[in-house]
Parts: sequence; structure tokens; C-alpha cells
Amino acid sequence: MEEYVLQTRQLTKQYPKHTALTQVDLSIRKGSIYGFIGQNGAGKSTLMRIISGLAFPSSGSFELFGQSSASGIVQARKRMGVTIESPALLSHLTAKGNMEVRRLQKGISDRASLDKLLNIVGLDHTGSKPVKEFSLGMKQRLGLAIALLGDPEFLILDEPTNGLDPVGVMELRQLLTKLNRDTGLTILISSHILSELHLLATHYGIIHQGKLLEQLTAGELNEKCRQYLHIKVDDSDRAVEILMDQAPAKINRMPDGSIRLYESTERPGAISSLLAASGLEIEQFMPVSDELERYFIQKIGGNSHD
Amino acid sequence: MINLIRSELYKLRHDPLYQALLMVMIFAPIMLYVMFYFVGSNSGKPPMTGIQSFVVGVQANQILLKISLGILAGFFISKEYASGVMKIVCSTGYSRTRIYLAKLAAFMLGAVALSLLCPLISMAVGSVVNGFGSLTEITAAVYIGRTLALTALFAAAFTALVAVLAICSTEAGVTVGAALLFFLFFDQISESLAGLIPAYRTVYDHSVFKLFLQMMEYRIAGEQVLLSVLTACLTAVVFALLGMFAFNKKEIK
Repeated sequence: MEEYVLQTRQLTKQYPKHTALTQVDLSIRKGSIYGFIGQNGAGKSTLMRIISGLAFPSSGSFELFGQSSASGIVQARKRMGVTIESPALLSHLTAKGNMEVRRLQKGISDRASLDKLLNIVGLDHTGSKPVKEFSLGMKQRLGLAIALLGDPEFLILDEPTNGLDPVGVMELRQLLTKLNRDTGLTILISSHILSELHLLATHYGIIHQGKLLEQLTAGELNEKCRQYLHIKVDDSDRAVEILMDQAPAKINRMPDGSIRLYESTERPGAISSLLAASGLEIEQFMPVSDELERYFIQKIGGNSHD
Repeated sequence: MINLIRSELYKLRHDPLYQALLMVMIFAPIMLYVMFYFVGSNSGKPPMTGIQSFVVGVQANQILLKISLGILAGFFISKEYASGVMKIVCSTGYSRTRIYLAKLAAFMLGAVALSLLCPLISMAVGSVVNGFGSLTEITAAVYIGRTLALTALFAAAFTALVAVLAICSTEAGVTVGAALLFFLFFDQISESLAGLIPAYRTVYDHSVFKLFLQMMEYRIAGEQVLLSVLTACLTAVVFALLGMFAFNKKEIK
């Protein structure tokens, strides 16, 4: 039997004027990266807030690390790290001061872990600078470092890429992938940048108007979306030759000379290294997941206001 | 629980507003003494002794403490909703009850420290300038010990009371405004109401508000001291329970 970190059963959240969640049955497998997709107000944050103990369900239940009693769930939350909506920070404290508050809360004796995490998120140089002088991207990274304190087994990240520059987004993705791979960290992540989610998630849940429309694995989604790598090099004939030879995959040559490489999107680094090692000059190289957006929009009924 | 309290105390210690309030509580009695010194010297009065200055410090504390508590409640508790810090605390894996009690414990400790500063600094300044002095009505040590103990107890009771307001309000400004209005006008309104409604007089006379105003008297009957202790403890417990109940029901935005 597969082990689930989180399972919700008919989870419903009703406010006086609207229903935020309607009978949601969501399952997150241990060790997965669950991309939670939905428009603003679809219910993503509401579900995350309920799991984190910030809001209470109107009906239904959920199981966290196999615990479903109220006290069991509270205890299970000790194994979680959370950032919801915006990074929650004390603006007059430094990055390390904010980490210290969390360290004390969790009763972590190892002070060195603060420096280690600040180094991982690239904030080790901030010294005595108070958080109020940080950029939004820096705050996001600090929020992530705080969530990672105490080596959580389950990370809930609500729009963690807000305010991050493209390099920051890429670094975040690499960090989360590494943590997931090395420590088996389970991640529930929502983001508006679907292409980023597509590069990161192993599982997806699509939510719309409080209803979970579909849950699927990355493989199932890729089959439906046909994600590809868009490649443009100085010698496309040679590139096709190399790719056909060494990275067997479906290749489409486009009229503008670019190449679309399907079925190898999970290892873009290896492909770019292969091309570069062959002496080709890479002009453009990017994973394209417009199809995910298209799939998402089609799934929610063709309307999008984001 | 102890981890939560340590974390809350860390936040309090590093809170710039709390640090500012500590400064106010240190410098206000000094300024007050200087003012009395010059006013007294113009009319040929000798400077206040330590024990006389202590009494003035206790009187000044009655208003300073209430104002400080209102401000601190807004910025130490309510502001955590706006900053989102409350979200992090509530998702840490502690029950809401423990979170609230830890917050209240740190807030109470901070408030008690604030409440003792003004009388003690006043006494120290007076003693340095004109000696400690003495009281005819009661042994000074007994008076100081009793007054400081009651001050600390009443500070704890007021803290529990204002913490309920702070935990229910998500806006620091609203908490500060409401707490100040309440603390500054409650006694006046209550006195007026007590004049009209005899039953209210009984309630008000046995409340922390009235007993707090009476605690500086030199001669207090043993029953009155006991009543003050019990009322302060009961108020703290009742409002702590009320705050816990409110926080357990509250959704964190």
C-alpha cells in the first residue's frame, strides 16, 4: 500500500457568502512534488490554510501523516514547513533573527543549521540588515529557509515564486528538486507560473471554483500536454543528427530552424550539455509548457482571468 | 510549551516598541522627580526622599502602565496577524491553547517588568538625592514589598484582559485605540455609573480597576489585600480562559 502524507476526504469550506472548497478528495504521496494549479480564488490557499491549521473545515476530514484526530494532526504539523501567501517575517529583525524565532519555537538545539540554511538560500551575506530592507525576492527566500528549518518531511509552499527574478525562480526549482531527491521531502506547491510547475512537479491537482477537477501524475500530464524542449542552435542539421543518435526522442524541425524535442524534457541539463560538448552554439534553449496552460484552461472550461 | 515561551520572549526582547517602553518607564520617573524637585525648591520644600518618591512613582504608574499595556498589546500580539507571523506560529505543531498561553506568559512577564520599573526607579532617584526616608504609618519594607507585589499582580490581570482584545483584533491600531479608550475612561465612566446604580458600585469596588487605584494606601486591611490578590488572580485566569477560547475559534487570515 502506498504511503500518503496527506489525504483529504470530502473536505469542504463554506463561508457565509461563498463556498471555498467543495468535497475535495486530494491525495499526496510521500516523496512527491504536488503541483497545485488553480486560478486566484480557486481554493488553493484555503486548502493549504486548513492543512496548516489556520482555518477549520466546514465538513469533511483529512489525514496528515496518517493522523486524523485533532491532537494527532497538531502533532503531525511538527513535521511540516509552511509558507502561505506571503513570507511571514518580523520586519525589524535580521534574517538570522527571524530564523532564531523559528528555531526556538521548534526547540532545535543546532544553531549552525541557521547559517547553513541561510547559505543555501543565498542570504548568508545579509548580516545586520533588517528584513524591512529586503526585496520581495529576498523575503521569499528567507520564508523558504524558515520553512525548511528542522528538516521537515512535508513542505507547503503557496506561490513561493512571487517576487523572485528568473534566476531566483530557477534556483528555487533546483533547490526543491534537490531536497526532494536527496531527502525524500514531499512538497505541495502552488504557482501561477505553470511552466515552472511543469519542470518541478511529479503530480498535479487542478482545482477550480473550490472543486478538485483532476489529479494526475507528471507522466499522465505529459502525455496529454506533450511538453517539449525548444532548441535553437547555429547548426540545426548537426544538432538533429546528434540528438537522433544520442538522445533518442521525438524531434520536430520547425520552419524557423528551431528544434522541438519531445520526451526528453525531464533532463534538459543533459541535452544542453550534449549539444555544447559537440561544439554547437546554443542560441535558444527552453522547456515550453504552453500546453499545460492550454490543458489547464481547457480543463477549467476555457475561461481564464489570470 | 517552554520552546514557545522562549520564542515569544525572544520576540519581546527584540521588539523595538518594547525597548522604547522600557526606556519610557526608566526616564519618566527621573523626569518626574526632576520636575517635583524644581517645583518644590521654588516653594521651599525639601526634595522627596526615596520612599516619598516611590509613592509618586506608584501613582504615575497607574496611568503609564495602562497606556503601555494598550500599546504593547497592539504591537506585540495584533500586529502578528498583519505580518503573517501568526500563521507560522499556528502551523508549527502546537495547539492553539499552548500558543495563546505562551504568548500571554511572555506578555505578562514583559508587562510585570514594565510595571515595576517606574516605582523602583523613582525610589532609587529619591534615595540618591535625599536619602531613603521613612514612613510613620507602616514599615517601609512591608509597604514597598506589598505595593510591588500587588502592582505585579494587577499588571498580570490587566495583561490578560487586554490580550483578549489583542487576539480578537487583527489590526494593531484598533487594539491600541480600543485599549487606550477603555483604560483611560473606564474608571471615570464606572464612577459615574456606580453613583447611579448601587449594584454596579459593588461590582466596580471589587474589580481590579478600583482595587488597583487603592493599593498604594499605606494602611490596607488584611482582607483588602486578600481581596486584591484574589481579584487580580481571578481576573487573570478568567480572561486567559476567554482569550484561549477566542483564539481556538479564530481563523488566521
